[in-house]
Amino acid sequence: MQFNFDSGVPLFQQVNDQIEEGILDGTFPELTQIPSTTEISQAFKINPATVLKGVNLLVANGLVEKRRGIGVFVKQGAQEQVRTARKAKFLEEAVTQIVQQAQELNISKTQLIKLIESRYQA
Amino acid sequence: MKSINLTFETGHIYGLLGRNGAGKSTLLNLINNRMFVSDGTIALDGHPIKNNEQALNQLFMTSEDTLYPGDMRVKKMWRTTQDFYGTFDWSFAKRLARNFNLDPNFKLKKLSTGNRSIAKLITALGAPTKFIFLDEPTLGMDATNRDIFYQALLEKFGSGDQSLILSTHLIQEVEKMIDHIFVIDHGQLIEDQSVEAVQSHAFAISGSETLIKEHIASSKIMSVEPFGKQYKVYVRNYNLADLPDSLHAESLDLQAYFVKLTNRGTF
Repeated sequence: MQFNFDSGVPLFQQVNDQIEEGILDGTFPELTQIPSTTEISQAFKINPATVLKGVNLLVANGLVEKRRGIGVFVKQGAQEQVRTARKAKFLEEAVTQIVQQAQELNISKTQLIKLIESRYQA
Repeated sequence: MKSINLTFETGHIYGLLGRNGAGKSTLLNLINNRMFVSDGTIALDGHPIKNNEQALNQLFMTSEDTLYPGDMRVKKMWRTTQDFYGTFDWSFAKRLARNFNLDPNFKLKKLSTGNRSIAKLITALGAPTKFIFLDEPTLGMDATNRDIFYQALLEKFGSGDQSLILSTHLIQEVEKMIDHIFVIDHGQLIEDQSVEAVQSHAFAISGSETLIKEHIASSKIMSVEPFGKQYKVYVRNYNLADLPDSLHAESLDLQAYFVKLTNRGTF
């Protein structure tokens, strides 16, 4: 995990995003416990209230759940949920951006598709 | 120091920032009744702290000045704190002393400058008061000891019912830990905002001089850097949604923000 103050993304959002990333890549498997607020706070020198805000966002999105007195656990189906959300975001943002930039640079649709295909073959 | 109005609440880690000689220590001394205000009031929960023992018992301050005699042993300093404030977090203090590799049986005058700062810090972190004020606590501390200190304060503050007010020049080291900043400049309070609000509204905006003058209100500009035909302005309280496509914005870290805020260029 890495947190950048000047990335333009609020820190609590970065906490949410990084844990989401961990759920997606299997660092935090489903039904297992994620590090506590105190652990995250101390390891990355982040204000505990900020960490809590990020974790609460994950709770609100149904990716993790708090078990009283024990800790926070990744919910079943969370990995698929993150993947679906990221897929939608990728299609919406990344693809739109690529097409837009290609148009600005006068790269034709055929050329762009060829470029993408060549990356798959490589 | 004039027309300063600020409020501390519990459950926070505050950063008190300012350049050398800006008035940070004076402000902390005034709040902690070590200096007296000629005009105005310092109050806790609405009750002025002057001659108010109950209120003063909720404030603890550590600064460069050592108010303890050199012959005093570290653990005696803790005992004195307990006698004065009612309780003391002995297990936390002992654990911290171990982490810092500090022997509580040592006399203060036998400690190195760095270790004496550490002893005073541990005393402050073990105190039960609602508000703890640390004036330049990491002065003379090595990087490893600062790391131990930061971990300790994150364990103790930021939630719960105590608050820490930290005056420091090491902004980059604390920018993710503090949740609210006060900036003092020439004896005046020029910033009082949550770090999240500062972070999401401070940018370096670049573009042509004409476009910048047309689109960026001068009241929001902290500093200007001409760069060939390009202009770069550092802005605060700026809403990114107002940025036209023709200008480019970059986020600032807290240190860059502070430097631009307290070292104003001319337009």
